[in-house]
Amino acid sequence: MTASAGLAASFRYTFGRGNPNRRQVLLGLPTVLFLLFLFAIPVARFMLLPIADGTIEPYVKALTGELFLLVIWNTFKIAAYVTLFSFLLGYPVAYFLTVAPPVWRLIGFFCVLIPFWTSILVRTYAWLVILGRRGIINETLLSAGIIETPLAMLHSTPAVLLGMVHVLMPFFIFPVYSVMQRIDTNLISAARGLGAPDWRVFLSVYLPLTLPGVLSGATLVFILSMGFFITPALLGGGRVTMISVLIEQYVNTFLDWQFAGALSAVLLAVTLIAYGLMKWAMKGDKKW
Amino acid sequence: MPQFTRDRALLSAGSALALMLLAPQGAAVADEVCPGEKPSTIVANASGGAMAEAMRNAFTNDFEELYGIDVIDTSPADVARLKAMVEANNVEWAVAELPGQDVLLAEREGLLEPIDRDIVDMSGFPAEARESDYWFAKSAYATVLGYSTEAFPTEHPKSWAEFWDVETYPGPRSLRDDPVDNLEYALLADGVAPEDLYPLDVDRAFEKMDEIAPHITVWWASGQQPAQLLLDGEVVLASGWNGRFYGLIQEGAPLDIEWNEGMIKLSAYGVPKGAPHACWGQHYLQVMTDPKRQAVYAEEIGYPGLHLESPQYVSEELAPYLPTAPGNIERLVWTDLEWWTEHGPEVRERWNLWKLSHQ
Amino acid sequence: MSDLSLKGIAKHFGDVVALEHVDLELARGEFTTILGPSGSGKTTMLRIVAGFEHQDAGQVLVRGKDVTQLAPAKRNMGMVFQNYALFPHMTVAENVAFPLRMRRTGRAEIRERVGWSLDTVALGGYEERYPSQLSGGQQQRVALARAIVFDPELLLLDEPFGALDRKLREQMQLEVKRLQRRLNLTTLFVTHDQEEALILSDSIAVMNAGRIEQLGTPRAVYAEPASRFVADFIGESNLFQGRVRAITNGLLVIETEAGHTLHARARDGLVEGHSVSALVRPERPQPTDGGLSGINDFEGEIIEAVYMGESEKYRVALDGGLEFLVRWPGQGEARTRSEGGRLAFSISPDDLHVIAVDGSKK
Repeated sequence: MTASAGLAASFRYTFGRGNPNRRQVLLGLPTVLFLLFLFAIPVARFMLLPIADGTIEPYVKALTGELFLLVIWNTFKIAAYVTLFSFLLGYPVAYFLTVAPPVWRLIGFFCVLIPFWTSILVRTYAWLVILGRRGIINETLLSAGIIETPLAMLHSTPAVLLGMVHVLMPFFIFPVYSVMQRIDTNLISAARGLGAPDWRVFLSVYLPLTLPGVLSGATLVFILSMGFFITPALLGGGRVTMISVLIEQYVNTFLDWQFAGALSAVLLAVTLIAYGLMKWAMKGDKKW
Repeated sequence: MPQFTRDRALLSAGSALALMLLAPQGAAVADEVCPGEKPSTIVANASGGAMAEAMRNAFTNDFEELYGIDVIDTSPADVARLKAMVEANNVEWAVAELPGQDVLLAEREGLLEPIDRDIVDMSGFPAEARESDYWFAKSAYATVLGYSTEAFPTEHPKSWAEFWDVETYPGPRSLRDDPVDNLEYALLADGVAPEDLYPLDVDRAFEKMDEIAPHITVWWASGQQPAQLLLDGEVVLASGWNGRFYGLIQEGAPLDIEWNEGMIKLSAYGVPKGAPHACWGQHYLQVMTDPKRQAVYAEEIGYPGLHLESPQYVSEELAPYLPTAPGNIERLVWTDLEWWTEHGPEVRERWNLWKLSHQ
Repeated sequence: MSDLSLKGIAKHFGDVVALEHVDLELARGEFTTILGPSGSGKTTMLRIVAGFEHQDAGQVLVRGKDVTQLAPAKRNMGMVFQNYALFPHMTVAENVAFPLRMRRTGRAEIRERVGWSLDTVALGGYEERYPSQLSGGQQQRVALARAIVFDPELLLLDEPFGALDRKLREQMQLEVKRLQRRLNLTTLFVTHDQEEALILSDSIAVMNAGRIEQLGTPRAVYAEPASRFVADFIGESNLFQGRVRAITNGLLVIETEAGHTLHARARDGLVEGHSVSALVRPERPQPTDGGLSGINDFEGEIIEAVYMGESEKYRVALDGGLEFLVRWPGQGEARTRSEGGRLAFSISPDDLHVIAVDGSKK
């Protein structure tokens, strides 16, 4: 419980509108230096590789090549779907965690966090076992006589979506939970008392009030989805191409680092644009 | 299996004897083997997994005993990392495996030291294996047609044309997520003679690929995938590396290899440019030239060494599963790594685009 | 017909009894306060009326219609919450329009009603502000506007003044009262503040431990509390414990435990031998300044004197050992009594309110 509360608090911190004073800035200095030297500078160098060699051709290719536009679009679509499903599935879970009695809340947190603490690889392999042609689902349906030939569930976009939603849903649930927890229940009572049927209470009051959490969670899930690698690589069976898979291919197989750097820069740019758009969407709640 | 174990024991005993005979001589010259101070360890980077164990049993242990230097095995084989090390002038590896056309990439990018023929004696090797000054041909491997014996107990596809024939041989299939080999298969399936393959007719190959694409449920990316996919029943036919199939066949898995029209390549080792103990890396390669040790390696993993005498030392059970075995080698087609090094980038880009259109 | 009738309402939370058979009637336009300490069940009662809680037994009738099975949304009651419960993501106008929109009121009518309602609470011109941009008092007015805009059958107020500072609170109290009068709104008001209850109410229901101890006008609950609890809870009080020794000339003669003899106006049902509490409000005693009135004369030493502006308060140690509280209008410097001085006063028999102690005859 404390761990989850801490997690929720850190999300709150990350997405809150803090105004740190100078001493707090100093406290952040080691982290900033760490990220600068071990992350920002190497990444920047990687992305500037093409320019360092005096050519912008890799960038031109990354921004105009048919393959790359298609892959970026494909990645964008998958990230959008993952975000949508994380919302549809994660929102009720966050609500359950908010309203459940303490024992159930504890159990609920456990269920959300256990997979969170498990390696992505293990979880992804678990899907292989479940969805395979001789996996649990197919064996059950076959032995029950419901189907005669195994269903092809693995190695498809739906399988990738399933695996990614499974991995990323906690990133949606925690920010939403932390917002839901702070909603004054009197507002719900007030809305009901003023004549709103339950669905109106949800649409007109509860949902808008949780929107900051929803946007935080969605941003997090979307950004993580854009760069996802392991799950699409394993569950996609090479049939679902995301930009990270392509970057890996250019780094490891083709040794074309200039182009990989350009692609990474494009991924970063698309991600930043998405982040900016969501930030802009969140501006609405500045007034309240 | 007992038969096999005993053979291996005999072989080990044989190499131990050979060692004992070599030892006094080795010890006497040990101090002058390489200039400078002798290191306590060197790093050998390779594919890892089952291969690391095989390497150790066949070569690495012997090297350690001969020279009193411990070898640290690292993995995976990673030409990108090699490039990074060489460019940063911070090479950790004394010797490194360079599978497939990685070795050509490494050679072209100037990432390798030349092989020191005074140390590495490749006189017993065939001419094809001695072409380059920069790499040591460790073994040969073939990308072959693997099939499930459960799905095809009596009749199985014996050519790529039959792999393409989904009416006669129904079921999901898997090919590698890489145009290398696949374009060759497509052209062979379309009736091109093996000797007329290169230069590849890329347009024709992709057209032929269109036919099979809907039946490829998995484009595999790592070596252990094809055999596992066959074993799990995910697919009934898959291209794959012969050693990986052999590993599971040996354990009694219901799958087998069709050698006809498989694509064969050399698997190479090299010494990274600026390696700290390059000289000891060369000596490590010299240990790998021994035909008997190569036989031990083949027994372990199914990839034969290239010393012409090596097949004499291999057991009867294994022999038919080596790509270099008589009866196999004639049916295999050598991949033109030069062509791929030349055209790889553009063909791969087209490959990805083509795959996207078939999602 | 009453606008609101509660008949035999009971409610348990697990083993805890929150309400124990509560009856209450509110006439049209009546302002009734439920007054009690926290945990007395007053909030539970309001929530049951609003429909947020469901009673275990009993009925809630609004204008004769049983609303027990109705959802809160269908009860047509305007409620103002302790912290106002304004929707933070809506403007003032949107907040006030909310109940109308839920009732599918036409656009033009909404505009008109919202305008009227905001004018009523003197907040015209604040339509486009968000609640966070308003002061506490303004938020309170918005909450009030939202509660009356749809012409509710009942106005429910749940400690709405608690968060305001004293001055603003008094101002708002009077405004609410005026508004309630003007619109003739039947109002149920919950508070733990007895002063507030006395100022605003037509009638007060004093609650204790899930029961209504007394229902009456402010004057009645203050001057003639039905129980020691009510006497204690409302206002400041001096309570003598004693026993009725005799009844003579329409006066009860009470012997207190401290040894004083009190004379009080006789009440029905009290006979010789009854254990009683005798209540005197601090402002009732009259100074005697040496001369004796003959009955209910007391004298003692001032052990604490507090100047409060409009009044002065003295804690007096009576001869015989009892402490007594006296509050008189503030006097000029010359007339000030100070700590350590003597104080003599008498109490009219009419100012002594006698309460029978439960389970009499100790």
